[in-house]
Amino acid sequence: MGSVVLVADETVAARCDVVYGLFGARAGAGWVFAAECDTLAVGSVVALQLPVGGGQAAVDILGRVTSLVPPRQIVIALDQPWRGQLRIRLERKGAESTRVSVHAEIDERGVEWLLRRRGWPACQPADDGDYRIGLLTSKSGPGAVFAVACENLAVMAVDELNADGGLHGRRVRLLVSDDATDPATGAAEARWLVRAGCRVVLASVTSATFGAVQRAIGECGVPLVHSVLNEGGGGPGHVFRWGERPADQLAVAAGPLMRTSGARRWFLVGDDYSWSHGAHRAARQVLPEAHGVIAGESFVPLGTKDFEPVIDAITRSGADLVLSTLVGADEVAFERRCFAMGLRARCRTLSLVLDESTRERVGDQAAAGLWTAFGYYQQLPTAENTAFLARYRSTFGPWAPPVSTLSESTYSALHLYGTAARQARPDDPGQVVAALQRLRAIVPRGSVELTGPHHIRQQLRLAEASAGGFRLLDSAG
Amino acid sequence: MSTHLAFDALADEVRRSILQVIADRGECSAGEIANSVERVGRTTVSSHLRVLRTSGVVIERRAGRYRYYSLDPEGPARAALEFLQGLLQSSLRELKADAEALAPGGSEPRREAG
Repeated sequence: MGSVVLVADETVAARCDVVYGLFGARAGAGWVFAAECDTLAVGSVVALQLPVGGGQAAVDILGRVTSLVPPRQIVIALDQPWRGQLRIRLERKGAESTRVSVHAEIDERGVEWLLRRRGWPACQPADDGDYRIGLLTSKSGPGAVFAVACENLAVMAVDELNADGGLHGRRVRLLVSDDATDPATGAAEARWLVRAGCRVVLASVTSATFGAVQRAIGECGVPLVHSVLNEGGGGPGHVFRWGERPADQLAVAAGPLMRTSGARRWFLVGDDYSWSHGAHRAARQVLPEAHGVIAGESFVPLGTKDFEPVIDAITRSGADLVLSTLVGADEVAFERRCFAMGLRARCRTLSLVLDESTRERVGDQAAAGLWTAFGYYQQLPTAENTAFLARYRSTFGPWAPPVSTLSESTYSALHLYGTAARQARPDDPGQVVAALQRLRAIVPRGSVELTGPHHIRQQLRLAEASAGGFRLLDSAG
Repeated sequence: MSTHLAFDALADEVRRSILQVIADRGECSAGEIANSVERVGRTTVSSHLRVLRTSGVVIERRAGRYRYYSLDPEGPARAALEFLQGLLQSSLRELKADAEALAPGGSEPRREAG
């Protein structure tokens, strides 16, 4: 089966413009019309809560408005958990009557995703001699916000490896699994990727999932790569942890933010798992060295939606700086609430996981003025990055989600792996692992060097969120 | 076969392990399945296989006195599409209820069109 278009329609006894105006208004107007969006405008991001049933929590469908004909048509491109399109048409049927039709496009992989979610087993693809690479990413759950472009970028890297002859004469095939931002699901999916014959598993997931995956498949010898930013940690030589480290992010950002704001009392807020705990440990070291004081700290369970108690605690603590290590949908909910509750007037915020996708879902208004420090931004003014973004847009179109440090690291990790695999003899995973422990390369973020399994040398850059993206700052400032 | 049946069949943990065994091995006999699913006895496995067959999730093939089972991906795929179609339709029903409660006399929209 290719793509299928599902159609539903209904005649509503209300004026066309009234019905149109309900879209995104957060009323009880059905899950399609109760989409979450700040402004109904072409290019703006949309989240729809899909009731997947089976006693499970609703899953966020992440998308973007691509065309509007008020009050007659709304078109949304869907990015996760599947790529497709949602077209809503409103047709005037007399003065007080409107015919509403929804066309929803879903492809094979979307159907497969839904079936997996409802308990259908993952089937082994028949052995076709392909060189299999596994990608574990978050297509659902709070992590889908930061992981939204990872699959696209992995597909692009694999296409480029294949255009360059594949690996050891074999076509590279990407197998993708969704961890649902849940460690147990991630561990089960990683085991499946190994059973399916993947020679490397790339995990663009939270540290919580990564830890569970390492426990599940860490002993089997298949290289496992955490390319996205993380708090670090040991492990055997074939378990690679690259990505930005919180201590380095803080070293770049904390001093300049205190100098710019004249503030020094920090409140630390994070999700209650290894990443935030590791990042806050780094903060307890770095912030006092920069003459900062820690006024308070709060951890919330991953998946928290109500941040009012945390924001009250920040206010009570007298802090004038906030360090947020929240991730994905949690960071989105927190920053939006901070803005709504007027905290921005009292506190400057440094956010360690405010990538392009998270920033646009926080929204231009609520994100303005937030600081972060990463190795990659779309704004990097280099020839490599310009060419990379042009390839991404020509492959996935103008409405695909923005590239971020997380998705660029997924792309670059695949090319680094490809380079290492080509240096090794065929079917000698030990040589690939050895090559991956000492490798230099130019990737879209610039020049990087892998030194040992748990470190990547790269330049971090300070940036401030602004309308439509980030403004790069001089970290000496 | 209705959406309901296929998704109900998948909602049970033992049935999911049975399906995983079939997915990993390809077509296999009731005996092989019962040997691989350790938590429950042979009779229970048989009755689960009957549910899976009648709900269109697995295909049964008889050869002599043996029965062999394989996955039927088309049934569940159809169920998934029907499920999504049902969700779209129910979303529009809720929209209708909300819009008509809001605007019996054509009151102002909550957001300006455009």
